[in-house]
Amino acid sequence: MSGLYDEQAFVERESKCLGLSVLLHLFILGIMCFNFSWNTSEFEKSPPAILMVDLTNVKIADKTNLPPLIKETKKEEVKAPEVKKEEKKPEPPKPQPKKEEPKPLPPKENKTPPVKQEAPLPKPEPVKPKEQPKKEAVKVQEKKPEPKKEPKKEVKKKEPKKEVKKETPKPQSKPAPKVAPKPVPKKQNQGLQSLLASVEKVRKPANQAPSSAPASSGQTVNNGIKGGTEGSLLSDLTISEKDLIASKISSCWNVNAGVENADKMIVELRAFINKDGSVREVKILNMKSDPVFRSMAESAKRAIYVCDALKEDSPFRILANKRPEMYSSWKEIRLRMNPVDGGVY
Amino acid sequence: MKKMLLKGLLFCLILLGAGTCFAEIKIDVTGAQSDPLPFAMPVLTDDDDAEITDVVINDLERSGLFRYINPAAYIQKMKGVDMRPNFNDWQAIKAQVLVYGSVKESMGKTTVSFRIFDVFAQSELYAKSFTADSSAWRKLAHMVADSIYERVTGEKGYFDTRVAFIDERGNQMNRIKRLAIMDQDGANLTYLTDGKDLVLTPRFSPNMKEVTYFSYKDGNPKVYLMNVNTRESTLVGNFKGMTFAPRFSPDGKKLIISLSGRGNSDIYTYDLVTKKQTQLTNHPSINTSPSYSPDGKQIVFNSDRSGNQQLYIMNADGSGVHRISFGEGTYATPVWSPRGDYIAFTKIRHGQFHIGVIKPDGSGERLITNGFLVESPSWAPNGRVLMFYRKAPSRSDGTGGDARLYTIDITGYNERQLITPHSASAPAWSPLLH
Repeated sequence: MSGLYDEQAFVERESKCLGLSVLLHLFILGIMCFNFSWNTSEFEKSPPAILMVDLTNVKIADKTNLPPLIKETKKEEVKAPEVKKEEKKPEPPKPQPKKEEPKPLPPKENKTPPVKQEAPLPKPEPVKPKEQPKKEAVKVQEKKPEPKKEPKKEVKKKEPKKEVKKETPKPQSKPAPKVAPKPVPKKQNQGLQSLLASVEKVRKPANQAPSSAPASSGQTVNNGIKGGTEGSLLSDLTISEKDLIASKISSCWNVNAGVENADKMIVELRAFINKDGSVREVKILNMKSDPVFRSMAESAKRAIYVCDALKEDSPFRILANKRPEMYSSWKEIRLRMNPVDGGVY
Repeated sequence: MKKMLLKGLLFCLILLGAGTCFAEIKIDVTGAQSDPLPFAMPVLTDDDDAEITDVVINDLERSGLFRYINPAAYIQKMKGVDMRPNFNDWQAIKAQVLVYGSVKESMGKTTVSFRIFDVFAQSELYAKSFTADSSAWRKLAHMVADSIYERVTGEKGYFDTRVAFIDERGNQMNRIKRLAIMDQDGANLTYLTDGKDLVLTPRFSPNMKEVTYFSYKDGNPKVYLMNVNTRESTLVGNFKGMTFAPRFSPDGKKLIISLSGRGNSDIYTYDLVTKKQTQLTNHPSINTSPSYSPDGKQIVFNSDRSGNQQLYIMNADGSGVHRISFGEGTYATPVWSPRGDYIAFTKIRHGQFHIGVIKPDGSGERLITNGFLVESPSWAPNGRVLMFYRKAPSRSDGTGGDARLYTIDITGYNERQLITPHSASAPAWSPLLH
């Protein structure tokens, strides 16, 4: 009896221990979730979240190209219906007579002109299909830069019907004829053929993509290699790119010469850059009460805006033109600025 | 349990490591331009009377740190102090700083109100209003200039200051030297002595009420003290021998002077309250040109105790003498900067005079200007600018020519002549007046 009692006690203890371990694990995971928010300083709050997305995507793409492509095709498929819905509206007006649609539309515009400002824009589309969708696309890009650009660019270049047709029938039609003739002459090696077929199924999406890329989905292939959503394998700019930006900013920075201990002054800034390369905001990260340092920091901040005012020669605009795919990386740039050459180390 | 904790810790470390992997783009920028800052300043007054505006602009431009943009380029017309600037208009003319405001006069009082804007950051830096008697309008203008200078550069201004100097007239054989003071821009010139006696090396007291100087009054070369308001002068101390090279201590309670006798000279202090004389150096060599550090704890002077004239520093009680200059040539007239980081000096090398600066520890010696005769450096109260006099001979034998006052930035740039009616030498810059 005592032995059974001991066993029961042991089992109870074990179950308690397991429960404790589970609770402890959950507790530790919980701490991990909150840990980063504790440690983040004022200027480290936002960027990690942004960069985390990029780096994880890069890692996946580094190992294989398949997952991101599959994910993207899925994304496209998901997006496809949205495009169809949008495109269905402009499509009918083309074949349909112009007299029918414009007539009902203008009265709607007149009825509610102030409330729906966007509404009149899609309505004139049928009348001038090529120009008006572009205007829409530009406007929408400004509001929602990242996700909606790609599908709309496709809309601009090619009509949606063709894309949908090319993407959907290819995987369906091509495997069908290739798989069908092969099994007919060779019925004996069905196992091997089935294996080959499965391999082809896996290979074809990857192989077909580049071949069909120029025609239909060139952008998706590039994005796939880069990691699925956006960004490239490199999460950082090259040294030469950094040097270019640094030298440009240096030329924009006007400092009062002869400042005492200028070589020891390092101004830290965070520049928030828009996707078009314009400067949205500049924050001084290490402002001090010393008036000399304050003036130095303000002049550094001013330098960023002065550079921004150079328009096309602005280092950030150059970045936007040359590395638009890395926007998530350079939309916030941390700058350490010292007025004395070689002062920052 | 221990294993579980270890696993938990390991997991934590992995997560932390992953977190730190996500680095943002960091760019180091080293080096900057040092061009004068372009600023725009519409006329402050409603009418065309631009005197106050002109004084402000003149002050800022002479500093070498600001460049005035011609008002003909202005797109936006600013009226009054409460108007909102259109930053695009000012960015278009590449103004980095915008100053605008108004001047109002009533009941014999003048009020200057102004705002300073950072044009590119589109932010207001400063807004202030000064009121004073209308007769002191130049002082008001200098105060506005000081405010702009201080807010933009972060350093103290030096425009509301005065300069004491020796005004010289007549030929070499019959030279008349008078003690004079004027504003730092040359305005409001006043003579303190009538020219009967030779005067040299004037120095302002920290409170600006007195001037100490060296004079051959009554054929007795001594150091004197003059009240600037009453023009009354008194002999300093009862020293046996010639006293010269006087300066005030930073607190204004003492004078430090050189006393010549027995073939050498030593440094003494003279307490203006207790009249007590204290000898600081006791060396058979020449020890002269003493100057206090801004905190009053140390004194720099020159001495030929090593064989040729070099710079030395000692404690305020005369202890701890050590040499700080080891360069070629001879060093003279050291003056400690008001901000303490440099000591200005005159150096004679290869038959040329130089004005230079050196750090109190003897490092960082730099010569910032030179000439046939450049002498008597004096610091602006912010320690950024030096004033000195320069004399070029008019004849090939090295005689003749006029001495003129010049200012120069300690970087060695922006050397500018200060216009005086006659030949001028031995300048001494006053502390800031406001």
